[in-house]
Amino acid sequence: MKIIILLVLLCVASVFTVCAQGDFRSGFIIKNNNDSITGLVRYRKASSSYDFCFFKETKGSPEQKLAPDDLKAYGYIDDRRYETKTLKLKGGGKKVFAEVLVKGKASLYLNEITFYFEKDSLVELPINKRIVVEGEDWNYTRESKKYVGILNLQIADCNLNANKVNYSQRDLTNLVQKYNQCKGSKGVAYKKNLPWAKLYPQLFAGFSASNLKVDSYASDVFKTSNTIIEGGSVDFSSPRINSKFFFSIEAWYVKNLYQGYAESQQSTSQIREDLVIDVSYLKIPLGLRFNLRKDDQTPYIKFGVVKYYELKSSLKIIIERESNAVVTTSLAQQTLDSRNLRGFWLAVGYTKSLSGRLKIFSELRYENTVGSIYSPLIDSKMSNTNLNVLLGLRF
Amino acid sequence: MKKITITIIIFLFLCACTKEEVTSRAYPRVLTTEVANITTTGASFHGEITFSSTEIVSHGFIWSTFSSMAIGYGNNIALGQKTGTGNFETSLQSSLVKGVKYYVLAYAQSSNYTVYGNVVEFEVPK
Repeated sequence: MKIIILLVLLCVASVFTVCAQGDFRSGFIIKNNNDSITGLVRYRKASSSYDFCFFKETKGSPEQKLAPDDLKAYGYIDDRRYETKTLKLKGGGKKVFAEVLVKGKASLYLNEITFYFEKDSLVELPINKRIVVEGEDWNYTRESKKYVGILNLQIADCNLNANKVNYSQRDLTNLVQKYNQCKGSKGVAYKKNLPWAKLYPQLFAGFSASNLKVDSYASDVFKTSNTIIEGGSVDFSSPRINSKFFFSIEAWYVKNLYQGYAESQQSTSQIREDLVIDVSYLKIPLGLRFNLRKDDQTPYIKFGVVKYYELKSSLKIIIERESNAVVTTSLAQQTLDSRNLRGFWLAVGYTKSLSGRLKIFSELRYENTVGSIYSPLIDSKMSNTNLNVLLGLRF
Repeated sequence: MKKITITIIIFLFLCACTKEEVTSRAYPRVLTTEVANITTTGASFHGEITFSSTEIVSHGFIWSTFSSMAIGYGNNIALGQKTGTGNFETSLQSSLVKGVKYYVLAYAQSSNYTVYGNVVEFEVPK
């Protein structure tokens, strides 16, 4: 068990070592003198991209840490773009890299969770607030939609209004694009090629080493059950929001044969028990995946919860009583009921593009589950630790 | 690289070909597996030696209308010596009464131990 944990920790450490080298993607910077330089820009989650840009001209070049004072803009090819803007933030005006959502006659920017509209000047669109309206013996809450009023003023010269526009990237982007069309401007929505939701089906098979512990027996009674596993999964992501995070739902078919042996002494008899648990499950792991680099070729970490659904299970116990050189055997075969088998899992893996959307991945996964098993002969709590090695295809 | 991957995959699949293992003992291990062809004129008894590290000097079946049986306490069908593990069977040719429950067990004897298998119950159909 200690070896398994050490192995998983070693893999996690290796993944983070790879991660520490950074995820640089094709991009560009525009200097204050309007020089545009293409190169590699470190890919960071949106919330970390407002203060600094990390840029390398080539793979082997030294990394430069650039602040909003140093640049006019930076961005990734076919992905996010940031422009230096002076925004009214807490503590006064501050230069930041604001994410450009739409650029045109009217532009839309995002800084952390606040949107900004720019036509003649840059205007903040305040975040929705809940306001409690109180009377003498009554009160109610309503949403302050100041941004709707501001937008309506700004787009009044077109037959548009923002009354039904939510304070979301999608709705605001669409509205500003419509305004630009109305004004005959060909606005650019920088992330328009990135879908809001994307599904990645996966098929995999692998090897599982499973250790069962039944509380009514000593911990070393059952031997490790080695088995083949197979299954499929779907990863969901929203590349427009973040291309590194995925929500994952999986379905595995697992068949385990656990064999155990226990010995005990009863007055003049020596009792020997052989236990065989033959069980097949459908297990449903749910989790999150985080890619450390671009999806084409990247190490990743995954973690989540798992629930088992028993498909079929049986228990066989052969009991031998030895007394004065005479052995009597009894055999019991019963169905076994696994109950509330659930737990957590943690995985590290690596995915590599084969061609087009097709990718291959391998994964090492540690899983720990608890539950109970019941048969007329055993009614006990149980726990299970699995180490899985998976090989799969992602479409 | 391709060869290494294929070798690893084959190795993993071989590791995972789990089948039920029989643990060793100082004595032969025996199970009564099934009773078949049950009629009023007899039945066939089946047993299996699942483990044997010593010579089996005698093996066979004991049957009776009582579930507690042993050599000398029940009807013994002795099949003699046997080497190694494996299935064995015999045909009982004796008049059995309809509707009566009978019991049978397989046994094996080494020079030091007498081992009785599990008791299997059977009934002659009415």
